[in-house]
Amino acid sequence: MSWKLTVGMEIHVELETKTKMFCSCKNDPFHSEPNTNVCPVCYGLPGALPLANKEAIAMVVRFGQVINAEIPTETFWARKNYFYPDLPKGYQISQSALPLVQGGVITIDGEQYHLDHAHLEEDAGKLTHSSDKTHSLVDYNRAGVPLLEIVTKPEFHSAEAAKKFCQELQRIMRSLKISSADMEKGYMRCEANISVSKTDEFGTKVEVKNINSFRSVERAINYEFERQTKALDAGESLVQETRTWNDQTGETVSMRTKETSADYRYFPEPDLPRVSIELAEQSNHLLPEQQRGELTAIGLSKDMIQAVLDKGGYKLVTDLAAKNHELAIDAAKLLLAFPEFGDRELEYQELLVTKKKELGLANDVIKTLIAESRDSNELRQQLGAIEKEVGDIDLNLISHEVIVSFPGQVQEYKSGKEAVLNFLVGQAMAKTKGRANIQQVRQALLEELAK
Amino acid sequence: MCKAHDYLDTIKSKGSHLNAFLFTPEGADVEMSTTGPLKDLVIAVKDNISVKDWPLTAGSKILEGYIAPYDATVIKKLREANATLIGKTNLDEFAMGSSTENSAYGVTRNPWGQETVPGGSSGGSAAAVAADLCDVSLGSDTGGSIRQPTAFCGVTGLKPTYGVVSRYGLVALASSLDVIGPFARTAEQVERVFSVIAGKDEHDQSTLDYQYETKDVDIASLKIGLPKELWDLEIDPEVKQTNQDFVEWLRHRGATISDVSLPSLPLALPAYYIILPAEASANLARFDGIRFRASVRTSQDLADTYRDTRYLFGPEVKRRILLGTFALSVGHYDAYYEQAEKVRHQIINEHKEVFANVDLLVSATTPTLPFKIGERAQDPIAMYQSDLLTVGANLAGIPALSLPVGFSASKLPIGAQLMADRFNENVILSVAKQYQADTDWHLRKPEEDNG
Repeated sequence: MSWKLTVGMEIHVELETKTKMFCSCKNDPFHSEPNTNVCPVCYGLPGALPLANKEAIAMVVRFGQVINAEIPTETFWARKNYFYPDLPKGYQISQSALPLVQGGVITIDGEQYHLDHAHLEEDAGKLTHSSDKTHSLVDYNRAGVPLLEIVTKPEFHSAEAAKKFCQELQRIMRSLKISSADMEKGYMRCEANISVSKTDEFGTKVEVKNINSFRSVERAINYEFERQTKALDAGESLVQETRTWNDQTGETVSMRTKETSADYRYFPEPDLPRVSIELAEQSNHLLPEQQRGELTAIGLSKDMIQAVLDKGGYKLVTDLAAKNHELAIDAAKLLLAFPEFGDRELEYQELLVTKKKELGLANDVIKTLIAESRDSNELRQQLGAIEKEVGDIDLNLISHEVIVSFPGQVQEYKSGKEAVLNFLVGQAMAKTKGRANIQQVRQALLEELAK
Repeated sequence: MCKAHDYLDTIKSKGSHLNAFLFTPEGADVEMSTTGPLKDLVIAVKDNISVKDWPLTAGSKILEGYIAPYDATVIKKLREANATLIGKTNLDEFAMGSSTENSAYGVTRNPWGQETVPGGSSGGSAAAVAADLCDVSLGSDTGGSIRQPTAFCGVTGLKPTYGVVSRYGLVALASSLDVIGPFARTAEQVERVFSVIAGKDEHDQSTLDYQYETKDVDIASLKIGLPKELWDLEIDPEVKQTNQDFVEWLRHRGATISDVSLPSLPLALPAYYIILPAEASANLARFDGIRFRASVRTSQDLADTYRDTRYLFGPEVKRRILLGTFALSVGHYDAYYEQAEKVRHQIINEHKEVFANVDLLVSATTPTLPFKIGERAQDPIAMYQSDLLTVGANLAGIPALSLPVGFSASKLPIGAQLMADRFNENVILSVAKQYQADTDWHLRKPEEDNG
């Protein structure tokens, strides 16, 4: 019998609210000078009191709603007690018995993955350790940033599935405008609970922390699978422990075993009233999986669908598909070919796709256009200039020049080698610096050759 | 020279032996205003309330050297009413105690007897008013810390309804019980200051919509209950007799007096000594040596830092942190914290029921006369008994006031406690004002009575 891998994920996502979770400091942990977005509350000064951020609660409720989770009508905050230098109060305000999001399903390519729950809490400060180990620095800009902890059921049986889930979660966070969920920057942090077994019962659970990229999710899980199965095959037994992933060495290292794990002594946070939740009308927000379905129906390939979703191009493509099916495919191709195009506003995108078709713009022209125009006004100006230039181009004259310049090829064409026409069209296009509509160039050449 | 400067002189001269103050500002920094509702009042502040640019010790070595960078909401309101702040008063460390003997900065002496405690934890605030070192002082009451020293020092002090006065800037002891309230010689001055500091605060989400309105109550229309569970306790005969005299005065003024029962009250003290340490163990976790008292750090590593720091706490603080940590631990939470919360809810419900039938509850404030310094210091259980008559009001969240109603043969003050339903401070204060118009206990001063 072979070993079966089982993984459950714990994923932290920093919510991009305007202000922090429990005070009115700016929520900007990555771009400000250290310890500038701070106040008595997020410093944990004596006497300071937390104030719950409604925007963060609303974001989490929306997330819960789109994944069909159960949202309690009332919940409360709890103190999670532990000591660490990055934790100003000696406890984290979190949730315990009544998390904001209970259950919920995320479907990826038809495969369902279930959440156990997701809860809202505050992030800790950020520690920077000096290389000579004499001191550590704490930046409290991150202390109090709203943090959503998502806990899945142990339903992943391959490292790739776990990685895909994390990527899908990022897409959902982005589509809901909750968070960029950028792993490299630390907006999203993953932990994996990994066990192996030959039976239906779970094996010894090992928690792996400090996984900072999608690739590492896959690598860390595969490494643990190898390590655990090798040990068990050699007759060793595993201990329940927490390990940390080292990206440089590609290994996990033991941090602590279960015997020394903390008792967090949760109890209801007495500084904050209970939170009652009124659910808004279900908005018809489509999850990536539903969008994949729609895009498949339009006729996009898997690669194109991925590019469209990752670039947030769903609305562009479906809007265009409603008007003109070909334009929608063109839009998807542009998203695939030009990464920056995906970041432009919808009006810009639609304009470019339409004009590309109308003017028959070549890819290198598109590339220059995207690089040189940042908004739809600039784009409109540049397109206007091209249209004027194109209008000024005398295709008959150019065709004539090409025919004169390449008598040999013209002879070949006239003797029946029709493929040579493409060469001539290419030469004519080059003379227009790629500006002209290729179909019109072809037409003009054919007319000139027929003379 | 204004009144405030006279007070400052007295504090430093003939008041200095009392050790009522831990900090007073330079005379040049103190100036009385000529306008504003509290322009005539000089106010001392318990040293667990944050006053911008003043030291804040909470009576502990662990906060030695800490200068508060912000004003508590009550301080902001006092400043807006143009009150004059004159200094910070002594207290039991982190407000844990009933005698000020737990202050790291030495015991405060009772102006009525040099070898007698002033009560606690707000002993400095009560002694300062009794010894004419200020007009009014602020204290905090978690289980009796305003009322017990009020009674021991022969002054008038109010513990308001929980949630009516902002806790923002009060060093938290037990967040679900802590309330700030005023001490003064007269109920009229208590009322003036209370009406200024009361009200909803955007920095404290546990505050309620509330505005104080004074009221003239006809005592003849009042129904007054004598809680059997409090009167049946072992109470010093002189304290009991004097309180019976007070009840007779109420009866003489036409009030309807009846015995009432709050069957769960005997459980209040045990429940209180679970809830308080549990919340305190978390509230004090921030004093781990990382951010406060950084200068004393010589430790080699993190564990050392924690170990070296905790010796700065006094024995009572350590005792309660241990109790609270234990009560919240896995395997004990249900048996202790959850049971205590059930008792609290039962007590809240019983008070609701009793206030459907009576307007006020009356009892003695303390079971004994002021005790001698050192008499109970080594016996925590005996010390905890000081709170027997007062903790019920904290668990129920109701307002309670203590006022002087007589003296013992040994010339020590005796207090009576008036309790009303939530938000009915005006009923209590009206009765107290009428009593003080009829008697002069509150006007007696230590020098005269002590000969």
